[in-house]
Amino acid sequence: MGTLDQISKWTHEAGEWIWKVAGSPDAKDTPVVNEPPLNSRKEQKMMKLGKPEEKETGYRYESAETPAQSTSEETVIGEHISIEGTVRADEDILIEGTLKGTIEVKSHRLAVGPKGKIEGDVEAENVTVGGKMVGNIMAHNRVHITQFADFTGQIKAKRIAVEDGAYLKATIELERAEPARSATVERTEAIVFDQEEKGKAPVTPDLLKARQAK
Amino acid sequence: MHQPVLEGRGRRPPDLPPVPAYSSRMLDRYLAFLQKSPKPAILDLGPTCGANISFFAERGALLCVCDFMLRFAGDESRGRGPGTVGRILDYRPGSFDGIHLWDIPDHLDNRALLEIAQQCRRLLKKHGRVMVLASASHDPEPFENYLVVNSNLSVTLRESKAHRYPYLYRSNRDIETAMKPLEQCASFVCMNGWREFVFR
Repeated sequence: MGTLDQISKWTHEAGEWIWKVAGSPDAKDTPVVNEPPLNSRKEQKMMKLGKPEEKETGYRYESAETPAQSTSEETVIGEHISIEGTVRADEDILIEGTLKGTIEVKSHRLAVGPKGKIEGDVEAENVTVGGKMVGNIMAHNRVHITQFADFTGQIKAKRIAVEDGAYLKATIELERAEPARSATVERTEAIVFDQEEKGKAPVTPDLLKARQAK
Repeated sequence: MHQPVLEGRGRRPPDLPPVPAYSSRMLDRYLAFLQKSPKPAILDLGPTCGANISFFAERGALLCVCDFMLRFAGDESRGRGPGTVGRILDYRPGSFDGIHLWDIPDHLDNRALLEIAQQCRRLLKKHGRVMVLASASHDPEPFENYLVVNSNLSVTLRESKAHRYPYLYRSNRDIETAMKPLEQCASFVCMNGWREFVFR
């Protein structure tokens, strides 16, 4: 007789996780619980880091805004892991351990959990710091510093959110958006371009105003 | 993870209404001064307030944030004594167009405040300014607050859940004396009793 895992399994159908008992035709379509199985330590850990413990730890795992949100691919560097060197990844990384070196996850998300420690530079699409970090952050989009973060270094990003009370000694530089050009200017330039194309005299802004008044 | 390091005022009871925002008389002048530089460098000595960081960083400033009170109180409690301020503010001389002290004069003794003023003088560029806010009340609200700048340049007091420091009232003359290494160039008393100073 096999174990429960050998005779039964979770399957993913129509967007739902369904528990099916192997060899039991009656049970084939019987959903037991609509939750994914916690069949790995990694998944169990991620569940621990989810919302139920958010208030207790103050750590919020960002999942709402990043392109990587739709995939479940993520590397977790656990709290008993220590790494020295360069880490390059093509998926999200959550660091709960210690890392000394450089991290490059250019189009993905990097999160430093409450027990995580980083000494070095990181480059990512979005960065969340909820632990200790000494180094520089280069984010192509957003940086989030939680209230329990202990950060020293430079931050370059498009946007930043800092929770009140974070332990912070940082130089922050946000990428400035180009000032929006007025519709009139764009329209004028388009018309000028159009007239030049046809070999006619360019339209001046005054002429354009007069035409618009008509 | 860090913890509050000094016991001072208490927590604000949740049933109290929020403190209304007041209109700052200093901020528009200060911002106009900063806008003379295409990329002003600012040193914000905290406390770490996300709204203020976003406010200045989104206006194109190169913003250096240092949670001064938290670091200072931690060092003081470890008995590190004189020189603490200089150790915390280890930036290059002449780096900043503006320095924000928020309500720091309400929490420091004269020696520490004088050290801060000396460091500000060292860190400011030639035409730089120091922005200081202080409560004018002898008996202030017994809850620690953040001073939060809103987009319309009003200032809201928002309770700080993380930090509680002792409160020390200072007269205008005391503040001016303690900041002696700098020259006061403007001061305002707002309707709600908060005082705003600009030094250079």
